[in-house]
Amino acid sequence: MISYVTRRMLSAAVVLLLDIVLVFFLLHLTPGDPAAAMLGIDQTASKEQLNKLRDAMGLNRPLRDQLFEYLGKAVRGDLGVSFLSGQSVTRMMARRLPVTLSLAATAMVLGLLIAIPAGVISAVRRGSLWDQGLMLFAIFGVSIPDYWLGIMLVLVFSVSLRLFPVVGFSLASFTDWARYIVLPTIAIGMRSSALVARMTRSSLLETLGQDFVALTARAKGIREWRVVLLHALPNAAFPIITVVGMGIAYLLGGIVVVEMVFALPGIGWLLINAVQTRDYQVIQGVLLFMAAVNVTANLLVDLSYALIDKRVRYD
Amino acid sequence: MGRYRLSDRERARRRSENRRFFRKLFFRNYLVTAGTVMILTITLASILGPYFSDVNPNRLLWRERNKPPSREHLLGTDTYGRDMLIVVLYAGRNSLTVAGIVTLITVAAATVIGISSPWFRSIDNVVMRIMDVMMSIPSMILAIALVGFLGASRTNVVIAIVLTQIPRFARVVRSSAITTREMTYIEAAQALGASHPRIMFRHILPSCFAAIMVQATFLFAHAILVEASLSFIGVGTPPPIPSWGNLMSEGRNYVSSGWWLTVMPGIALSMSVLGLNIFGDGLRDTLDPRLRGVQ
Repeated sequence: MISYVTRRMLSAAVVLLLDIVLVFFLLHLTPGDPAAAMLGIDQTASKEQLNKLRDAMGLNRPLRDQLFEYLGKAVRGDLGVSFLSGQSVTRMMARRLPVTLSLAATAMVLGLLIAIPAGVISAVRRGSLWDQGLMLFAIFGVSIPDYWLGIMLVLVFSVSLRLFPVVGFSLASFTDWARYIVLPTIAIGMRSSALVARMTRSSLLETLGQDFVALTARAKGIREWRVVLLHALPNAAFPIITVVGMGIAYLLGGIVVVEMVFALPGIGWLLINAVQTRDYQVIQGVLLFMAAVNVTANLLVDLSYALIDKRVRYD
Repeated sequence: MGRYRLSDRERARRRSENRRFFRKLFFRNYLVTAGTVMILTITLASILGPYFSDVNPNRLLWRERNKPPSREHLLGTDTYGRDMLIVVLYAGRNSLTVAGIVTLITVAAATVIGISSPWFRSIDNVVMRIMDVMMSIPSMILAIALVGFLGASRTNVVIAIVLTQIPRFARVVRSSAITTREMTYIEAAQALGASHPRIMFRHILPSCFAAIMVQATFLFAHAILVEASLSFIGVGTPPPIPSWGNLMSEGRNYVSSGWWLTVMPGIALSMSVLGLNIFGDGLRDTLDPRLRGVQ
């Protein structure tokens, strides 16, 4: 068990190191020149000025030296400085973290709260109207773009019914925060709930068909809801947890665009602004941050397997 | 290796078997039927629709600006006075074309990687670790960043989506190829002296077909979504060319005065993605029930 945990953590660390290398080369092997972006798109800057700036930024040094410097700094959490605001990228992200984090957490919770019951109901009542309705809902959930759903929610609940503020964010008090976070949460949570509900249904169906559930548990005279919730569901958990882990990548991707729609000053919006202004250091920083979150989340998912099921350690 | 010839009877038998299979695929499975109808409707409307209308998409009618849906303009008119239905169909051409090109390139590249990597065992580990690293960054975010580095153009959008989608697709192909690799008939082909490409593409590839077809359908749907997201945030298809994403993005500025500007392209987009997803579900159930639940 301990060796499995260390091995898994080491491989996650290696992936993150390689991510840093990948992100470094993204900047240095693509045509965009950070020094040129800094001087602006007007061509008034002379070649000499450009070269001087490249020297000052250390862009004329050998690529290998630049890579090792970037690696060394990134590992210590120093992701460089935004050329637009002159602030440290790490600090810029840290300030926006609560917005993104709270949105991700609420969306995740909402997603699971809808998905697990929906999946259980449609598996138990397979083929019923409930099942068909819920699965139709789920396939709509994976097909509708989350930001568009967000705009629709704003149209109905903010513009027409005036129940929620149109856009914005506040951390002044809990009620303020809740008023701003409800609509974006629904917009993002729908997609994850649809993904997880589909997996819950198919995984539970499979478990319900196995002998220890279909025969043994029922032969013992255990009540039906206990059979489903206590015998079948925990054994159907693996694929569900896997989908939740994979879903985190989609969740983070969705948050980026939804933050923009709702004008939430989070890390996603920071990325979009950085892409539009060609603030390369910030783009790199956000990429690395998102990779770190995703890798950590998937590490936790894998480790939770080992906790739930002792057999995992052997592989 | 010489080609063996099939007898006429055998050929006829196989033909009728194929016919029966497709009949079953398209008519027994209502998911496939429904999905096909939805995709065909939107694709054909996008391709042919503009020809059947005498509305010039580039003619600006000042007096017709921002009109809500009416009998004359079924989906209303946009801020330039153009008929929204025609604009949405034109945008559909662009969105579907980008997604289609992305799907073709990704499927081809990922299939080659997914089959050759497990076949040449020595490279398998390295290739798959590279895929792991690429997949560790959420694909949507990596695509946004790639377009950010490369600059917004249709070509770069295609490059960005292809690069971010290859790893996941290659993994699906690989998992299917890896079981086939161990089959006795592969060993037999090797014993007969078949070349590497022949074994990979003549013997292993056909057994991966079901997985590739199903996954390609989902990829197409996903590519439509990603292209729209990129265009929506302003780094995708550049504005004079309409696409569902940038129509929604423009419409968002008038969301309270002209809801149809955002709602209509969104419905067209959702319907095509929905159609593809339904089609993919049905295809998976028919072609390979073992894949149920994978997406």
